[in-house]
Amino acid sequence: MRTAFLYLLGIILVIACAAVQVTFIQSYDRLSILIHIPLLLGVMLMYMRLHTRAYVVAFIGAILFDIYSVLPFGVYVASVGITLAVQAFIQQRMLKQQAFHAITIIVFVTSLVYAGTTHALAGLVNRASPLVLQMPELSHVFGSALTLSGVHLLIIGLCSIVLRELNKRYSFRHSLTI
Amino acid sequence: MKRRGARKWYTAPWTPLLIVVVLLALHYIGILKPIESFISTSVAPLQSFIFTGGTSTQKQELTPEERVAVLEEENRELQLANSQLQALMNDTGVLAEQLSFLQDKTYSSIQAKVTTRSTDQLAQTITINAGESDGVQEGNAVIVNDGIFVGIVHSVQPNSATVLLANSYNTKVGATVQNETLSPGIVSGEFNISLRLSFVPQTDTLTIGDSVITSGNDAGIPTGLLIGTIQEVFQEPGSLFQEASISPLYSVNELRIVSVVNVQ
Repeated sequence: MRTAFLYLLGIILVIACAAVQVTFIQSYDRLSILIHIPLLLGVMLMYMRLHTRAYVVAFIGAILFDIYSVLPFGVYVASVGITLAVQAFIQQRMLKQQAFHAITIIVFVTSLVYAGTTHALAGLVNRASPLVLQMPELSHVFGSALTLSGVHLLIIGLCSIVLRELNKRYSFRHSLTI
Repeated sequence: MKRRGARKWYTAPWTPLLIVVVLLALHYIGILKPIESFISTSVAPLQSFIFTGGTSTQKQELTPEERVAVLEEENRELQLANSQLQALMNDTGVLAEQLSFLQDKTYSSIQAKVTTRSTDQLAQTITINAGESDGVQEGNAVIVNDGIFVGIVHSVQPNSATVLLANSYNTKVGATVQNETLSPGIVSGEFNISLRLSFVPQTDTLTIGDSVITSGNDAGIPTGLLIGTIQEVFQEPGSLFQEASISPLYSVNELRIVSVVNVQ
């Protein structure tokens, strides 16, 4: 019963996070290139080896993005999928330890990959469909990708400091070791 | 024998890609549609709450009587705009066929609340809380106030629809300038901010302040919806056409209730 309640609460929180991103953050051009909550949560959870939860969070966010986007369904889902695949590869082959530098590199790389993949897929779709999007310039794409990565890095840095302090003070049984 | 420390299948790098393939297949087969509908429906009240800045959603709900009143008001204003256009066309006598076309046609409109704005930087869109079940169709024009053209319905879900705003990169609408020659042209979004009128013959005279209206050449978009006014004219020597910058008459931030126009 308790587990079912926790799952339900989790799903409500995930949908709420995605809704805040789609409704509030995306409404403001400048804010939308700064933060992507479902992606950040997904990357964090995957880093903590909570793969299934990471998939649920990231893909529900991506589905909601795709529903309300003018792009054909799948651009955001595919971007999130590719990003998580890259993260899984990095975690398994390159950065196996759960150290601070590992999470910073992972967050930076995944944010770059997500922004790059989204624009690349949108460009591909643009060539194939009659939508005829006027794609932003490459410098703008790089700029927004770097901004997203930088802000995500900052958030992760702050979170890690807070969690480390909490670990020190209260010595959690299940340390998050970020 | 099971190898100790073997990775679980869902931790493998290919798993997210497999999920993508499955989700795309389920979506395009149609199995995912109820889930998408459930997600968008369950999110709608929250979106509405966030979008209206935390004001009570109950307060903004229109009663059936209010909806009818607003609808009648919108219809009256649309008819007024049409009659003005018809008078203009009578004066010039150039577009007599369009006049008869207008006389034969009637518009109906569907009231909707804006629940959210763009989900990406590639296009300027809004999402409204009226969809397929309310009679909204792809390609329908969306207006505010007294017939000010806001955008075109791009995609329709059962209970919501995505509207491409006129100032979005990829919106293109046939337009007519309300000058002496009723110059034709195409209005498209510029940098997701303003509007640009292009393909206007060089021989026509464009004056700053001229109104630009929809030409009715696009399916689903009636004639005479006000797009904006000319702000600046660009002429290149030797070119067949001239261009103009148009300032839209609506503010994206102030869009709360819109009407979807159905050409019947």
